[in-house]
Amino acid sequence: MRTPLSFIISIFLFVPFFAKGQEVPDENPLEEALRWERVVFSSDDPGTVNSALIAKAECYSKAKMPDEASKTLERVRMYFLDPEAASSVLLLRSLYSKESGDMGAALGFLEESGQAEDYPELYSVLLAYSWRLDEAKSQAMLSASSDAGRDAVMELFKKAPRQRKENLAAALSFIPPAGQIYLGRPWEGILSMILNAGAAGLTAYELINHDWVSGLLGGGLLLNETFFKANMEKNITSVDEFNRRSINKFALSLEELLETIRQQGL
Amino acid sequence: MSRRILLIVLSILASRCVFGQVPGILGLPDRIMSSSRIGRVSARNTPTAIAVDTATVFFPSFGTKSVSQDYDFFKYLSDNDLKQDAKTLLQGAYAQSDTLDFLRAKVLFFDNKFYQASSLFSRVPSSSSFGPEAFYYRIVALSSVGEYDLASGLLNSPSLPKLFSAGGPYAELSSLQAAGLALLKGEKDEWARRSASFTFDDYALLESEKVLSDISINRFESRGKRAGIAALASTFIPGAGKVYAGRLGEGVAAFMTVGSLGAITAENWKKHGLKDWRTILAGSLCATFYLGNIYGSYMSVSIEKDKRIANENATIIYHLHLPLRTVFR
Repeated sequence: MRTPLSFIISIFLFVPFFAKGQEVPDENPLEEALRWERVVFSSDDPGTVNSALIAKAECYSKAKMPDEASKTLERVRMYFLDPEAASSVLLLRSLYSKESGDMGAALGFLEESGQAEDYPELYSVLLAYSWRLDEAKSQAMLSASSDAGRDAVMELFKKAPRQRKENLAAALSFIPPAGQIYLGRPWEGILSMILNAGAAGLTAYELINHDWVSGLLGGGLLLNETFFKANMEKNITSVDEFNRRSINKFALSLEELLETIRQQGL
Repeated sequence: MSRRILLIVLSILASRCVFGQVPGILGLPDRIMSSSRIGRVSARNTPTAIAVDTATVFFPSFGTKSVSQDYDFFKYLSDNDLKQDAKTLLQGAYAQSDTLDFLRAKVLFFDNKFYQASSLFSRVPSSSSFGPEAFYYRIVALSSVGEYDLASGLLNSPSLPKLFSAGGPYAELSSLQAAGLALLKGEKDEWARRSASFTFDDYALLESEKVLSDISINRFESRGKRAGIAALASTFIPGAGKVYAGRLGEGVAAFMTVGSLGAITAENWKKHGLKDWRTILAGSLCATFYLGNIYGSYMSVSIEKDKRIANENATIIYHLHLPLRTVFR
């Protein structure tokens, strides 16, 4: 039986208030964050410092500053926390890192917390961002409680993108437009094919007519522009961007689907 | 699709281009040659200028609480690089004081809001315990936004308090800042006059004095490269001017391109005659790239010089600031 995430967060938030018998004030989150920093400044007790830092991080999260929130949690004295609390802090860091767009760090913190399996939706999405699609699929299946939900997950993963490889993109670039088609730019590939065919034709024409200098040097200059720079080099350098875009799109669809599954109890 | 192609063509022809490249439509052949694999071997490290933030921060109207009560807390935030908290703290309604102006100015300074920081530093009187620090930080803030005349005007003012002038405890720091500003403005005599006070034995100033002295040799004593020589070199050997300007890769790329086009022209001329379209086409391309390389070589010298000066200026400003951290620790 997993502990709801909101419960964990609220425990950390309210510990210092319970300790001092105060009520939660309704104020600007940045001022509230500063108030918690004063607690850190004036306290020698690591327990109080930790509670204040966790509360401060939550203030930054409210102020839509997840980077600052994550940085604040970095200062938590982990050695002073019991394993369960340390795990919850790592879980929070994972959430803030995800909010700030650092999916790699978010996955790292989630796995380090040892609670990844308890949050299959979150784990699945973060695994997807890291291209660990088989594991992402297993976690997504775990988060669905009905056949309809599992079918929807299966359906989505059928459309999962495949990670493009630089070496393959380079090899396919030898046959324009194969490299461009591999990277989802077929029209650019056709244009490249026409240009390269023209350049190669012109080179061959010169060589057939025994214009060796024009054929070899002119063809070299021309093909350097059309084949090497505009085709091969461009394909190789755009692999990362293509992978990033396609996995972001897929992970967002997965997140939406898992949210729908959760809301509809599928 | 056609709009995209048109945009790409227009962006190539546009006169503004990436820092370090030869601009304008005349620079197009040079940019084509420089963008080749060999051409890109030339190092193009862009100087890291400070990004000045001109946005204004509004502080609330004054309250009754003294900021001195929170001074230790501010120091703690500042020492731990908790900039956001320091900013939030000084948004509080504190009673008007020199300390408040100084602390707010420092927060703005470290947030790269140099104009507003300078204006707040100027409100701190020299008699205040923060006076000297505010004075020198103001000089750095003004230098960071290119207001060199205003900054050196403050240091050379006849009404400069004795504290900062000859015989005062901050005399050498004033000389260092004035010498740095003379370097920034390219004033050789002023540099010589001010740097004569460098003792090279105050550990807080030692490193900056040495760095500024090294830069002064580059700036005032070395002859530097001449654009005309680069253009002349490329006239005789295509690409040689680029090598002279310090761009070996671009020089080799230019030599290969212009040389190849020249050889193609010669072959066509020999085989098909001067008036054949192939000779005319190859010859025109060769002439375009040959002239483009001469123009590119000429421009590259001044681009490299601008790059070096921008890097040196960033270093000078860094060394105007560096000693303040130790002197006012």
